Amino acid sequence: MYFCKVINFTKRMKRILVILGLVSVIVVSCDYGHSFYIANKTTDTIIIVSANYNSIDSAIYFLPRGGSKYDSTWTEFNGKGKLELSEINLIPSDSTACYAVFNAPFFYDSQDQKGYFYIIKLENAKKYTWGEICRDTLYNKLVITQEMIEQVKTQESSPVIQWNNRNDGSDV
Amino acid sequence: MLGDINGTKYGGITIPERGIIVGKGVFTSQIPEGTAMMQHEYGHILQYLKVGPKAYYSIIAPESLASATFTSVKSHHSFWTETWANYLSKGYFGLKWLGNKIKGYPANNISDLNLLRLRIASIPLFY
Repeated sequence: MYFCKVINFTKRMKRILVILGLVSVIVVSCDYGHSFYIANKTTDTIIIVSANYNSIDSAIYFLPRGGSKYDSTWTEFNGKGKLELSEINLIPSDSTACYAVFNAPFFYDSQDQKGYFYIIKLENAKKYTWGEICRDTLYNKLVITQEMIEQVKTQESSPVIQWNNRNDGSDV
Repeated sequence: MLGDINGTKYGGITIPERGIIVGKGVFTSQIPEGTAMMQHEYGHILQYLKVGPKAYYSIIAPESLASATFTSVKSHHSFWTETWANYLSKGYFGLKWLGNKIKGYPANNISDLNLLRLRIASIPLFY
């Protein structure tokens, strides 16, 4: 009788261990996202566009304002005309923009492992076409490296990089 | 275990017919990063609906888990199970799809070879 109980207990333990193993594999191998924020410490409202290379021509992703809800609109390139601006991508003074990446390191497609961010004042974005902004350099460049992110990383919250018009990353 | 959308890392996992399980705030915050992840996870549901439970649990689920666990993090986002989930999600959500606005969501249709493998796996004899 006692022997049967021991066998049943062992079987149950085995089942529990198998389930725990499966759960731990699933949890370890889940999809993940991570992000960092760029804080606008200037007095202007800005828009930030991230690029794959050290050239505004490779600019692709307009960063959304940190914590803003998605309402189906997004800033778009309109050929060679002006940008079609959306509220979600406007970063007022003292607010943040969010750069998020899914299932990959932050700068996975950058050859030099750096992130290139082009910062355009809202007044310029409204006034000039995208071609004019690029041609007349009506933007600032912020270069972010993994080391910069590590420096401001905390255990609890996403890293925040300060943008104040002086840290343009030109020395990186 | 699955983190927080405001934290350093947040996760999500899909178990078809059971649900999508994500970190705190990924769904409820309605912020674009979270919505993009939800759309991707829904792409896995669409895969399941397309190929059925046998092919999903014998090929897609184990290969996706293996990719996330054993390959480098750099390549998991471009693994075929993930890019196909993005492709299906893109087709489903249309203009509301956020994978072209948030980084890490390459979308590609399934290759003929993988489609063939899924079809073979869905035959009862091979299960």
